[in-house]
Formats: sequence, structure tokens, C-alpha cells
Amino acid sequence: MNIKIFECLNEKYVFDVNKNKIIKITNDTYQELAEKKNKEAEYKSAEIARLKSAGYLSDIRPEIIEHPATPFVEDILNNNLQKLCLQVTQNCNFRCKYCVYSGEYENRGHSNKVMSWEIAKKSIDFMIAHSKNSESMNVGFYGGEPLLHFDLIKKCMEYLEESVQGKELTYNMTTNASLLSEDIVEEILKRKFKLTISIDGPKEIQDRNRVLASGKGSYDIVYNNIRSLCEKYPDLKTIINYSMVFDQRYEFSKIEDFVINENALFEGTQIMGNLVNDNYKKGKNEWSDQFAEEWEYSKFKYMLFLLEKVSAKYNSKIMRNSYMSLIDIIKNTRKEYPNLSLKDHPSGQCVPGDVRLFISVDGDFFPCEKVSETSNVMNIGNIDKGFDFDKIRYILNVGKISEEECKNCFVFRNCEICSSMCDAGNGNEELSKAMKIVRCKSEKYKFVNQLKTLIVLKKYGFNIDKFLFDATYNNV
Amino acid sequence: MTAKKKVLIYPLTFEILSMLRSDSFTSKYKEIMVSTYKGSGMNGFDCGSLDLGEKTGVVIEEDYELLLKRCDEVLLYTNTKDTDLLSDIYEKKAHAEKLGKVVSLILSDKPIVFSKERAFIDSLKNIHIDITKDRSFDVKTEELIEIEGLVDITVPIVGIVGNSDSVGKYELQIQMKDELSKRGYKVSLITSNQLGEFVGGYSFPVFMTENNYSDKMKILLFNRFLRFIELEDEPDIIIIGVPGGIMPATRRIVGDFGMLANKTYKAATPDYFIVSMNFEAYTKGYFEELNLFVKYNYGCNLNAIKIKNSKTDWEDAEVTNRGKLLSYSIDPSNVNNLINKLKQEIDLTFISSDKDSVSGLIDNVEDELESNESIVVF
Repeated sequence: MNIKIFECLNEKYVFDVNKNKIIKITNDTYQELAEKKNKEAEYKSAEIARLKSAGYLSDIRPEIIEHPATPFVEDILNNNLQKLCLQVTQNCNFRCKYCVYSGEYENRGHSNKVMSWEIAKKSIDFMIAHSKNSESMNVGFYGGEPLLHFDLIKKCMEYLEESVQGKELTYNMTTNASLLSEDIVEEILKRKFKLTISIDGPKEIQDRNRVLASGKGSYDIVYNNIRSLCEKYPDLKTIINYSMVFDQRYEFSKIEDFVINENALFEGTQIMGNLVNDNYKKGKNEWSDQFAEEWEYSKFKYMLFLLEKVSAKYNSKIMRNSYMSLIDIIKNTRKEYPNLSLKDHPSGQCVPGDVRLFISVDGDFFPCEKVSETSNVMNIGNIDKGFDFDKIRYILNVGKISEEECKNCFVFRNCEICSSMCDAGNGNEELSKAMKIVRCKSEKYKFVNQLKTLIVLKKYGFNIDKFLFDATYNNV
Repeated sequence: MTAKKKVLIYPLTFEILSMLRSDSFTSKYKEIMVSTYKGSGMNGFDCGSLDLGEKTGVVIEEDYELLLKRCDEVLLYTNTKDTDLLSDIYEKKAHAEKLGKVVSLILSDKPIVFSKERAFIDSLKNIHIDITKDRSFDVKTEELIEIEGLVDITVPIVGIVGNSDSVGKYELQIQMKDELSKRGYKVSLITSNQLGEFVGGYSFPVFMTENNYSDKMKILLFNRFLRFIELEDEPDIIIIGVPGGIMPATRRIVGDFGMLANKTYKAATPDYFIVSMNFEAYTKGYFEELNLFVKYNYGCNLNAIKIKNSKTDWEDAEVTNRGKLLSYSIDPSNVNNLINKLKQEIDLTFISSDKDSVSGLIDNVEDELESNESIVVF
């Protein structure tokens, strides 16, 4: 059967992969399912018979691992391109210690390269030529620090606006905010623009990792700049999101306190918090006991808040984000799914280039900004030759490198593994099965953990609709 | 006989593309020019590149002003709600009129009551009844219609719907009208949009979407509208396309929940029913359930399925949530392969956008309607 049985709070459950549903079962049924009998007739439990007649506990699993978008890769990328991410410069005025370009990762190092207008224009023209079915276009500006090359950004936006009519044009940019000026703010507020600002926490946290090229801490520059600009331009706050990196080697509670205490800065904004990236990292990320304790305690407090056992004081912006993947799982258990197809693929992989096409300063194509720019396998084309569709199809079907494991995996519909997690980031032309299998292990562990958390939330009265739509849960 | 004119169409949409592939539309003009939005990605390409299908012989020129000088008439058609685009359309209309061009402006959000529908509405005048010299009274038409209920429509009806919006219904309506006409049938067509009059048919009547009438009265009026067409045109067959879809696409993109289709086909039960849809990896079970849906909603059999070479962008629908379903064109060979597979498993007529495929559909329509003809109906 294509199922996963598990226990939680002294009760037994089965997760049905085909139906994407969790079913509470009796101890006897659990026992029988655990025995994994060879023939259906050998099962004696009336509950199993009842569930089977209702379409649950089926054996159906894919016979071939193939992403459903495989036959349409050319059609999608030739006609429906909607999002571009331009690396306007590789230069950065910061030297963040955990940066993927710091030398600690299988990736390029810091450099002074900038994107030429010729490459930028060609990139926009490329998107126009490949988007005849799309109704919107989004251009992201990425670095290095993109504001070091704002002239190019402005030129790109003006060119796009001159060249395109009838499509919604939106922009976004990830910046350290140190160079954000009144002129720039005025320019971006004229448009549909989203700004993601990287800030890690209070002065002692921010200055530990996010340092200027001189080695000096960046907190004062960044914090004061955002505060004064938001005061002068109240609309600016409505387009800002924050990105925080939590360094697992240090404390966590101060970051949370910072978010709570700096209400003027964070009120009404979203915070995307991430642990220090371990993709492409040459060594392993270290965890301090203090961070692990504080992180888990914070999660626990947030869970109590979700269950309305503690006051809204514990409604943590940071933890809300970390629960979103679980919230998606809960939402998905409400959906009706057809059984898995005979040709199917685990859920984590997007169509490379479709979600956003990352174009480097040199005009090379990558599936997104998160992949290594020194990776051969992730280089999916360039501005002169166009897309490398064979490579795109190969990356899209990352599940093929562990075909048998994927066919029999209970995380099939909830998998978050994408090809970048199976890429060594060096000159390899292939994805690494060994890396994937390691990821699969932690993905399975994570999913069972999420299923158990879900059961706890359900059992103690968590109301997902309130979480999604009630102002108490949202206005943090 | 008046000389044929040169027409400029702006902007290019899937509906316009369907018209460009129809002889009954193109034969009316000496020359057809098409302009569209800047940055469409199609400048200098044949209009057929929009859906990766058959070429039209009309090349897209994004420079509208250039073409405006050369044309006699302008057709402006859009279903956009974007205020900037709408003001652009109005500016183009004003400019063209200033240059003395004949302009037709069709906005799907502000439907026009065309002359044929106007004539129908005018025909519904209150009735004055004299019983005796000193006893007479007026009967309101609406009251009379309510008392009379539905009238019989004896001309065979082909119903065309989409399982959601923008799945190639209009293209099929035009193709069927053209092919049936070629075979000698007199066809009356009610299109699923406001472009019916441009292809010799009727646009979907405005009274069906106005707030002036109750749902019950809309059904009865549509029934009378069909009777009106029956008497006016004396057609051999009536094709009715319905705007929108017959069911919500997702829980968030619900359209009108298929209410318009329900009202339309309560007015007259179709004799032949076709559902148009985008390409998906359909299973036999899907069509079995769809068959029951059609049977219990419209009281008729599901006869045929049209699959458009277009795929819904589910990522956009589920994640971006623009509130509308977007799709992208795919290579037509994908549809042909799928149809060949489905034909092996399911006893339904499957067609693509291809003209030969539509010809096969008409064979099937003829067979079905012929077998109905053998039943004696007065």
C-alpha cells in the first residue's frame, strides 16, 4: 500500500499518499498495516476493508518518474515567460560572513563585474519575445548589491515601460538598504515595486555577520536609513519585506525580541527568516546549544499561541513564517486529489526558468538566484544561444536520479527537494544521487514531524481558518 | 453591391484569431490588418503564432498608426478591465473617427444591444385585448410569458460550453457554422461573446446578464429569443455558445459557477452537446463524471469534447492568485496524441482546433441529428 503509518499522542494514524489524507486508525489496523502483508486477502481488519472500499489504502504509485511539465517545457518557456531576475552587478559593499559568495560555498566569489546595458536590454527583449501568452511581467534586480548599479535598474524599468503595453509590469529587488536614498525611493514608489531588505537583528547580531567591506558593522547605517526613509515616505513601508538570516551558532531570542521591540520598523511587513544556507556549502553548518534551545522554545511558544493557550504577545512574526509550510500541508489535506498518475514526479521541482529566469552579469541563464553560478548543470542557456532545453528537462526530472526511491516515497506529494539541493555546484554535468538521498532522508524525517505537529494542532483545537483570515493572527 | 473595405483590427485576441481563420469573416473584407499591444512578442509574426496553430496570412504590426492610415474601417475589441488599456482603446476610437474611419468598438464588459436583439425586445410589446366593445385590457408581455412558460423549439440545437473560461468555444462555434454552411445547412449562431454579428450570427443576448430580469424571466426570454430566431431565420440548426465556464475552475476562481449555462439550456434542451476544454492529462473517469454532470444539469447527452492546444497555468492559479485562469499555448501535436489515446478508451467524439477534426465532428452531428429526425415530432 502507498501509505505511511505513524503514532502520535498514543494514537495511531495512516497517511494515504494517493489521497493526501491522514486517517486515524485503531491499534489492530495499525498492527496489521505495520506487518505489510503480501496479499490483500490476508488483511483481517474490517477497518482496512472499509477504507479500501472508500478508495483509501490503494497500492497505486507511479511506474515512471517523469515531471508532468516535461512535454511542455518549450511551450512554457517560449510563450509564457513572466519573471526575470537580473544580476545587475556582482559587486557588493558588504562582506557578510555567511554570504554564498564569501568563499565558503561552491559558488563564485565577490567580483566587480557589472551587467552591461547591452546584456540587460537583450534580456528584456528576450522576455518580451518569450511571453506572448503571459499577461504580466516581473523583473527582479539582484546582486551583489543591486543599488550599486541603480542607473542600470532605472534604465531597465524605463525601457520595459516604453516597450510593453497591455501587461502588468511589476518589479522587485533584494537589497542591504545601505545605499537606499530619497531619489531611489521616489523612483521605485512610482511603480509596482516590492523591496526585500536584508537585516538580521539588533546591532550586536547584525554587526556580527553583516559587515561592510571595511569590516565595520552595518547596523547603524542600515537601521537609520530605513527608519528615516520610512518616516519621510510612509508608503515605502507598504512595499517592504524583510529577509533575516539566523546564524545557528549564536543566540536566537534576541532576534525575536528585536522584532517585537521594533514595531515601528516591522509592523505590517512580512519577515522571511532562514537559517544559514547549507546548499553548496563546503563545510557543515554548526549549531550552538543555545540557538537550538531558543529556537525550539520559540516554536513551542508559538504553538501555544496557535492553540490560544497564551496571549497574542507570543504571536511571533518569525515563527509564523516557519509554520507556513505546515499550514500548506494542512490546507492541502482539505483538497480532493486524484490518485497519482502512472507517470508522475515528486512535488518539489519547478520548471527551471519559469518561476524566474535568473540572468547573470555575463548573460548566462540559471533557474533562480539560489543556484550556484559555477555549476555547469544549472547553467540552462545564455542570452545569445537561448535556452538549453535538454538540460532544463534533465533538471526538471531530478526525481529520475533516484527513481525507485521516489516511486516508493510517502513524501511524494509534499516533497520540497529541488535540483539545486542535489547539485555539487562544481563543474559536474550531472546531479548527484548521493546528495539527493541524503536530502530525501531529512525530507522524510521532516514530513513525519510535520504530520505529528498537525495532529497535535488538530487535537488541541487549532483553527486554520482563524489563522489565515483572522486579524489577530495576521496583524503581527 | 458595395465595394469591400480594408479593416484594421486592434488588439489581437484569441477571439479575433478565430475570426481571422474563418472564411465567413475574412471574405467580407478586401484586406485585413491587425495591430496589437507593444511588447506582445509577436511583432512581424503571423497572427497564428498566438496559439501556435494554422497561419492566417495576416502579419502583426505593432505600429497601429501606420496601419490606421491605410484602412477604411476599424474594429476595436477587448475584454480587458485595465483602465489604462481601456483609455488607450477610447483614444484609438476617437482618433480613427477623426480621420473619418468607420469604427466598431466592442467591449465585453459593456455589451451592446445589437439590432437583432433590439428587434426581439421590441417584438415583446404589451398586448391589448378587446373582449367586447366596452371591455378591453392590456396584458404585460412578461406576465403573459410567465403564464405560457416555455415554448417548443423544434429546430435542432447544438450546445457549446467550456469547462472553464477561454478554452476555445468561440473558435469551435465559427468553425461549425462555416462547415455546416458549406454542407448546405442554414445555420443560426448565438456566440458566446459580443462578436456574433461579425460572423453572421447573434451576439449572446445582453438581457441574459442584465439585472433587469429575474432568473426565471431570463430563461423564458431566452426561450422566446430562440423562437424569434427560428421564425426570422428559418434555420436548419441553431448553435448556442455560452460565455464563461460550466463549473468553478478552482475554489478561488469560480466564474459564475456555471449559472449562465444553466439558465441558457433550461430555455431549450440541446440535441447535441459539446464541452470545450484546455489540454490536461484527462482520465476516463473525468469524462464519465462530466457526462453525468451534463445529463443532470442540462438534461441532454454529452456528445463531443473539444480539446484546445492550450494548458492552464495552474501554478499561476494556485500561487499567484490573480483571480482568473491563465493559460499558455502548447504544440498542437500534444492534443492530437491525447485525442488518439482517449478515442481508444472513451466512446465520445474528440476534436482539436484542426479543420479536418471539425469536419469529422460535423459528420457525427449529422448522424446524431438524422437519427433524431426519424422520430415523428409535430
